[in-house]
Amino acid sequence: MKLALRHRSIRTKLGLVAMVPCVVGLLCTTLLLVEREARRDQRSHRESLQVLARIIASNSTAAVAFGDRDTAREILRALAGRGDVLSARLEAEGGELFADYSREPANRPLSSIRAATGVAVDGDVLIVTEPVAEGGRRFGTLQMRASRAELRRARTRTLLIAGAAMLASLGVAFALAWRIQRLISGPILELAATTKRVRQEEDFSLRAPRHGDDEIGFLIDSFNAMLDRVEGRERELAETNRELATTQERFELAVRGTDDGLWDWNASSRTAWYSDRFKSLLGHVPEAEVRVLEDPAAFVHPDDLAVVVQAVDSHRTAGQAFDIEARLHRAGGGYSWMRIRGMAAADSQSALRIAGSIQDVTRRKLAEHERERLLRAVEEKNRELEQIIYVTSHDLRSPLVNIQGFSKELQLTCEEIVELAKAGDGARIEEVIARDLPEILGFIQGSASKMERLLAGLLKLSRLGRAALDVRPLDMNALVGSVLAEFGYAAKGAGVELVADPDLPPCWGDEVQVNQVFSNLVSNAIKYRAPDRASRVRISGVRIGAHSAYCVEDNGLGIAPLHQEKVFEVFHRLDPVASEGEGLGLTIVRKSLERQGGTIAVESEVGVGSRFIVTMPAFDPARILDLVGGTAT
Amino acid sequence: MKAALLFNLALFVEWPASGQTSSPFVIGILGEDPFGAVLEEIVADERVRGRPIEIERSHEVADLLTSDILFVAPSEARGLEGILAALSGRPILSVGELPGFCELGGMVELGLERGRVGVELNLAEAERSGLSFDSRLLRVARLAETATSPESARPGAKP
Repeated sequence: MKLALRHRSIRTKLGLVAMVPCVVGLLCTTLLLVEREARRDQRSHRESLQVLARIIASNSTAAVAFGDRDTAREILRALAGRGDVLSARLEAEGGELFADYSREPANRPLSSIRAATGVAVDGDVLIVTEPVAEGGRRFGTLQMRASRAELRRARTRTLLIAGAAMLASLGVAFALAWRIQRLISGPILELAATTKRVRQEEDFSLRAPRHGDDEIGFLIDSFNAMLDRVEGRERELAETNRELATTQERFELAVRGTDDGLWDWNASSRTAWYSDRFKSLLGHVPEAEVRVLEDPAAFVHPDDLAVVVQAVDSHRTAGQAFDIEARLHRAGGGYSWMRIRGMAAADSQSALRIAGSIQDVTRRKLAEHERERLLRAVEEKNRELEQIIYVTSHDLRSPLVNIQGFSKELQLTCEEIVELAKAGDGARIEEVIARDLPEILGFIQGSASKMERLLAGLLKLSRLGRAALDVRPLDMNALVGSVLAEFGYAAKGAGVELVADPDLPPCWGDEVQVNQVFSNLVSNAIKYRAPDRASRVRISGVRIGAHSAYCVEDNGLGIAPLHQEKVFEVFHRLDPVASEGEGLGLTIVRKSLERQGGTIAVESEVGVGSRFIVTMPAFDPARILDLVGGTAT
Repeated sequence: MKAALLFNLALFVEWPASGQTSSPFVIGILGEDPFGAVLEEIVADERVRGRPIEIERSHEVADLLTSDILFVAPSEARGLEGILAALSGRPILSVGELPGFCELGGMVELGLERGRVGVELNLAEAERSGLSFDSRLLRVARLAETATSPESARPGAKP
C-alpha cells in the first residue's frame, strides 16, 4: 500500500492529503455529534419523563390522600397524550394498587412496584418511579414505563441525516480539494510533462509554462533557466560540432588529396594510430593491424632500424627534425622505401606524442640507385677509358719509340753507308747492308706489327660493346666440348690434358661470345702452364640459385695476389716479355660476361694453379628481372 | 380513617398567617372526640409546613379559637350554627361530619359517599376567612352550593 502509493501521481497524493483528514474529521465529528445528540435525547427523554412523573404524582396526591380512585385514573389517563408512555401504576402507601393506566388495554397486568424511587432502564423500557407525597407526607408511589424505541428511531434518523450531510459535504470538499490540488499539481504535472518531452524529443527549446509566484513557480523558473543554459550549450556544441565537421572534412580532403600516409604516435603509452593510406602504402587493408612504431624491428628493414630509432630519439630529446628515409616491410613481402616525417605535438614538451606522414619514395629511391649505378658505371668507364688511354699511349709508345729509335739507327746506318761509299769501302757497305739494315728493319717492322695488333685489339674491345647479343639457352656440355676439341691439337702439343665434367648445367647467353669466353680461358690455361709438371685443365659446373657457375681450373703458374684483380684490366699481362698476345683477353671476357648478366672472378695461388669462376644466368635474364620483382635492392 | 383525612386536609389548605412557623399547628377537637388515640398516632412526628402539631380538645368553641383546624364532632350538632357563626371570619378551617355542615357555613364536610369518604368544600366561607384550598383538593372534592358563594364551581370540579 505504502509502496503502491509512492508511485501514484502527485495529483492522487494531494487529493489524499486533502481528503483523508477531511473524511476522518468529518466522521469523528459526525459520530461525536450523533452520539451527543443521542445522549442529550436520552437525557431529555428521561428528564421529561421524570418531570411528567412528578407532575402526575403531584397531581395525584390529593386523589390518593382522599382515596379518589376515579380522579386518580383520570389523571393517569392524561398520559395518553404521551405516545411513549406504555403504562403507569399508582400505588397507595403499603403497595395496594390505587389506579393504573395502560396504553394498550390488552397489556399484561402491571406488576407491583419494586424499584426504588428514580429511573431505571429495563431493556427498551425506561421505568420512572416517583413518590406521591405532599408536605413531607407520602401517600403512595407512581411508576411509569416508557418506551425508548422512539429514541432509538430518532437516533437512527439522526445518523442517516448526518451520514447524508457528511457525504454531501465530502462531495463538496472533494470538489474543492480537486480544484485546489490542481493549483499545486497542475504546474508540477506540466513541468513533469515538459521534462519528459525534453528528454524524449531532446528539444531544449521547450519551456514549462509558469503559473504562480510560489515555490513551484520558482522551480519552473529554475528549470527554464537551466533549459536556457542547456539550449545555449547545445547551440554552442552544435556550432562547435559544425566547425569540427568542417575541419574534419577539410582534413579528410587533405588526407585524401595527399599520397602520404599519416601516423600519430603516443610515446608514453607506446600506441599509435595509422591512416588507411598509411596501411595501403604498406600493402595492408585498412582493417589490418600495423605496428610499425610499436614494434619497429618487425616492420623496419634491419639496415634502417638504427636510423629510425635514432631519428625518433634525437627528435624527442634534441628537437632535431624528424625527416628520414627508411625501408618498411610490405604486406606481400619485400620492402618499400618511405620518407618518414614527424613532429612532436606542440603542447607536449617531452614530445610524448609525435605525428607525421610517410611517403612512398621507392621509385625515386630506385631511380637514385639506378643513377648511382649508372654513375658508377660511367666512372668505371671513364676510369677504364683513362686506363685504356694511358695504357694505349704507353703501350703504343714503346713500339713507336722503337720505330723512332730504329729509324734514327737506320738513318745513321744510311749515313754510315754514304760515308763508306764516299770512302769506297765496298766490303764494309756490303756488310752493313747485309747485316745491320735487315736487323733494323726487322725491329721497325716488329714494332709496327705490334702496334697493329694493339690497335686491332682495341678495335675488338670497342666493337664488343656494340655487337648485338643473341641470347638463348645454351647446352654447355656441347659448347664446352667443341671448345676443348678446338684446342685439342694445341694442348696435345703442349702436353696439357683437357677435361670437362659431364652434366654441366645449361645457361642463357650468346653462343658465340660464351664460346669466346671459354676459348680465352682455356687458351690462357694452356699458355700459362707450369713447364715443370704435367698440366691439366678441368672445366666443371654447378647450378647456384638463378645462376649457373662454371669453373675453369688449371695447375699452371698461378697469379700473385697483387695481380689477381688486375688481370681483367686492359693490356695487363703477367709477363709482357714471356707471353705473346695483346693483353686484352680477360678484359674482353669480363666485358662480354657482364653484358650477358654474367660475372667472372679468379682464385689463384702462385705455383699451384688458377681457378676462373664464370657465372651465367640460368634463366632468361629478361624474365629473371620479372621474378625478382620489386626487390630492387 | 377520618382522622387521617383530617390531617391530610392540613396539607392542601393554606392559611393566611402561615408565617408564624414557630408556633405549633393546632388541631382542635370540639365536642366528643370520635378519634381517640388514633389521631394522636397519626400526627405523631408529623409537621405541617415545619410546624409541630398539637391537638387540643374542648367542648367550648371559645377555647379552640387559636386552632388552625377545628373538627366539629357530631356531638355538637345542636349548637352547630352558633359554633360556625363564632368561627366565621376567622382563619380556622372548620371540618365537620354532619350532613349539611357546609350549607350551614362550615368549610369542609367529610362524609361517606358511595361507600367511601367524600369531601365537600365551602369555597365562599373559606375565602371569607382568608383560607384557600389547593386546586388538587378541589379536584377530588365536591363544592357546596351556597347562596353566599359568589364563585361558581370549577369546570373540572366533580359533579
